[in-house]
Amino acid sequence: MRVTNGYIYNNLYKHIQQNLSRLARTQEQLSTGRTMIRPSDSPGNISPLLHAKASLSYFEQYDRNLDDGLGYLNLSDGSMQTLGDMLNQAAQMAVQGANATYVREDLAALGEQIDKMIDHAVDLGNSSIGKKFIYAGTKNSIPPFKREGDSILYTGDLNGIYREVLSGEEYRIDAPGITTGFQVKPLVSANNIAAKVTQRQIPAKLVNTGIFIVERTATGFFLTDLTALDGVTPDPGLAGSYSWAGDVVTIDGAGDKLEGLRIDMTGTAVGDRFKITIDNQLGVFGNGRETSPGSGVYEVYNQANPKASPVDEGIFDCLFRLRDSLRRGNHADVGNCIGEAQQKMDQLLRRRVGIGSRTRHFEALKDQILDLEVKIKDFQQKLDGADMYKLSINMSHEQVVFQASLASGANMMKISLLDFLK
Amino acid sequence: MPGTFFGLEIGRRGVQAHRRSLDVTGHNLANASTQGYSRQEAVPSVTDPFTRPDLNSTVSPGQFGSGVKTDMIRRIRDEYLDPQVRSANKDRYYWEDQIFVMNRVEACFAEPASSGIADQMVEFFKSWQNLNNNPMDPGVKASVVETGAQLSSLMNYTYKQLTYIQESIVRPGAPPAVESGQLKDQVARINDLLVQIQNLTADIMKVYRVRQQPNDLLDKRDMLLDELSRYGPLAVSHRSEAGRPTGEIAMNFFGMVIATAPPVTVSLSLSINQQAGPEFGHLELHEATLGRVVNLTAEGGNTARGGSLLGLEKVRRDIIAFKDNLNAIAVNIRDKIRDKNFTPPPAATPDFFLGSLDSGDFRVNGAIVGDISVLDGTKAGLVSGIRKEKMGAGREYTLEDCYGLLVTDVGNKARGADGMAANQQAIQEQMYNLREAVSGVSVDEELARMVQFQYGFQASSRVVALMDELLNEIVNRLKPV
Repeated sequence: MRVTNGYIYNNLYKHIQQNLSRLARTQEQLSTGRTMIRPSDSPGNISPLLHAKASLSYFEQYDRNLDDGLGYLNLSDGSMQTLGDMLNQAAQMAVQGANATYVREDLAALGEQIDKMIDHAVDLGNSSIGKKFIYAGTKNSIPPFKREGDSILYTGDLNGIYREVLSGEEYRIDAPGITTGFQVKPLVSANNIAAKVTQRQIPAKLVNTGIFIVERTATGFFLTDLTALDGVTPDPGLAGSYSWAGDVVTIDGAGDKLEGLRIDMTGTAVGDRFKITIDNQLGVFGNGRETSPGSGVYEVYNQANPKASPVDEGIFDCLFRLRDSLRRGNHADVGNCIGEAQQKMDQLLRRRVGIGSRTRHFEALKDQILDLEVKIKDFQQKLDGADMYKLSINMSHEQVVFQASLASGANMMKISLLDFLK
Repeated sequence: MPGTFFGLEIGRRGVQAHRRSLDVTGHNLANASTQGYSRQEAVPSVTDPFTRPDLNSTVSPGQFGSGVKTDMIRRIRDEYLDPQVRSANKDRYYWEDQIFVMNRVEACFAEPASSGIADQMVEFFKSWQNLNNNPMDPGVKASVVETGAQLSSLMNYTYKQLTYIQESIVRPGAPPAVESGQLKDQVARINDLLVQIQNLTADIMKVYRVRQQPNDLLDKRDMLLDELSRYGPLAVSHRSEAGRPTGEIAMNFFGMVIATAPPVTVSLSLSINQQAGPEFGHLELHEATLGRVVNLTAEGGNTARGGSLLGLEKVRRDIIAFKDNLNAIAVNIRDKIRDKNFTPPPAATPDFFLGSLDSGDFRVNGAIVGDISVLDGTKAGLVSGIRKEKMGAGREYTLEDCYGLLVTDVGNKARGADGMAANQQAIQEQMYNLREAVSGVSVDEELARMVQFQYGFQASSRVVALMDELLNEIVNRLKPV
């Protein structure tokens, strides 16, 4: 090949540029400590890297969520403990009161103590951490429980408090202040209007539990997947016969396990589906019912309007009944309250056990997050960390190459026939 | 015997021929660094000998050598390399113009080194989790609004930057016109090149017609043709008559056959297809005289055709796709938050985000900014869960994944274009080097020739001087005895 000056110069320019850009690249990696600076540096690793960075950032948040959750859980545990002690005390008073040696005045005095105990229970229902009332669901900036004479009102909501503590996992961290005993979960809801399950209608009924799906159709409704709450056994006996009137489904077959259940589907659209769970689980303070639909105020206890089913009765029902029995001086009635108080203590204990196991779970998660953080940092380091030793060696190597190319280029340019012509 | 002054004439011719060669060498040296210059060479040949049909001549072959003449000044060039160089040219600039744009696009995404949209998105959802922890806290609400505003402004900013880059390539004017941009400038340059080539061809043909060599004009035309080949596929055919080139060429550019003699008026223009249908919005290259339309958008991915016009259109389509993805993310966040607010029981919260990136008004709702108390914290847990949901509508991945894919795509395209550009550049440079090996000026070579011609010149002058002396002897010294 014929070599010309142009060829030599062009190659020289090109190689200077190439060497310089390699040097600059190595220098950039050395000074940032990273191998990935632009998306094009390693496009295949962008997604994992962004994930790792996001995960590390979320871990901080999860840790914060866990601390917050643990605060809630510890306070719940503490307040339930006090509540349990109080019930225990009430049961002891009931034992005393059932004793025929206590005269009417003594019983009235005990009744007054129970009445103050009710105030204490309301205060415990208004336990707060920071400015958050732990039994108020998500409407937790105002005290949820209020005593108005001989009725207890709840102004929180029925939503659970959830904390995301690991990617994709949300856990409930509060024990609900009150429940309705029903849960309605919309599966498909065109107008975003939820069906409502109204209060139990027949006192003795509806102690059964189950899950089913109700779907609105053009001509009425459709009940499917009738399953006992264990989630395994199909149970057509939950609702054998039902009727439809004015957008309300009523389960009305005598002998149906859910007889008397009414599902109000006003405002829903054809095709809407709701999953309805009836678990009869009491809230910490029992069950409540909305004073009027949509008001957001729940009646937890109202002497003038007693609950239809004992299934719904909670601490306040028990305490008020004990107080009234004591005030009336009826030994037999007071005696009946002993068992009831014990039963409420058992219910409370179930909630406490739930909270306790969630606490242990969260504490374990905190350790796990620390562990994961180390692993992911290591992974990130592998993805975009610069190997300083290797880079330093590369750097000196490239410097040598660059100097050699400059030196040889300069020498080559200097030699010309001109030097030898006189 | 030749005539008295015969030797003097040979010397004169020698001097003249060497002088001519020295001129050419000087011309070569002067143009040693000129782009597109092909070295030239004076082609000397022996002049026709004189024939003397002498009898009894044992010392002569019956002919006298009569000296030297310069036949032509030759341009040393391998014409068969040119199509290869031009093909390498179109491939190189198809990718090289893309990489310049892609580098700018890449700079819009501050990933993964610094905190870009990905980080901001994480911060945004983290702030919702904080709100979930403290649903009624006005300070936390304010921080949700603040991170939301930062996210929306960062997304808006990135989208606008991408739009600027897109419009630096093609900025649409009143439909279907293209107002400005790199592509429009290139088309203007192509029109300019075509006119220059046609004018040069007319001059070249005149020179050829009088049997002369338009070397420098040919170099100039080849340079222009090389430049033209950057913009699109170009094939050049040379015409000749009775084995001699006429200098006329016909260019086939993007399938348009453009004659140079007689020159046709060619004027290319860009327009945007306005007809409803699958080609709506496509960028087209029009030529009215030849009635040709090239659909640049549809041809954009056609690497076999190459050239910077298609390369720029391809990268422009890529930018549009990036923008669409970014907008889809913004709109998805906006709609998902709205959906969460409507989840039963519906929250009485105004929409958190309004607008979209493509309409340029993606922002946090002013009603919330003005009064953060209207933000319903009870939905915060659901909203923070959006990041784990699939986006839907054909995008079966989460928001963060979608953004990750977008950045990966940008990175891949930049890297791909960079690699291809480097590859094609190496090929093209190799071609140029091959051409340089044939046509380039080697200074040392020219200097050697210079010395050679100098000595030739000196020797021929010596012949003249000697003949002068001889004639002087005859004319002045020879006296009748």
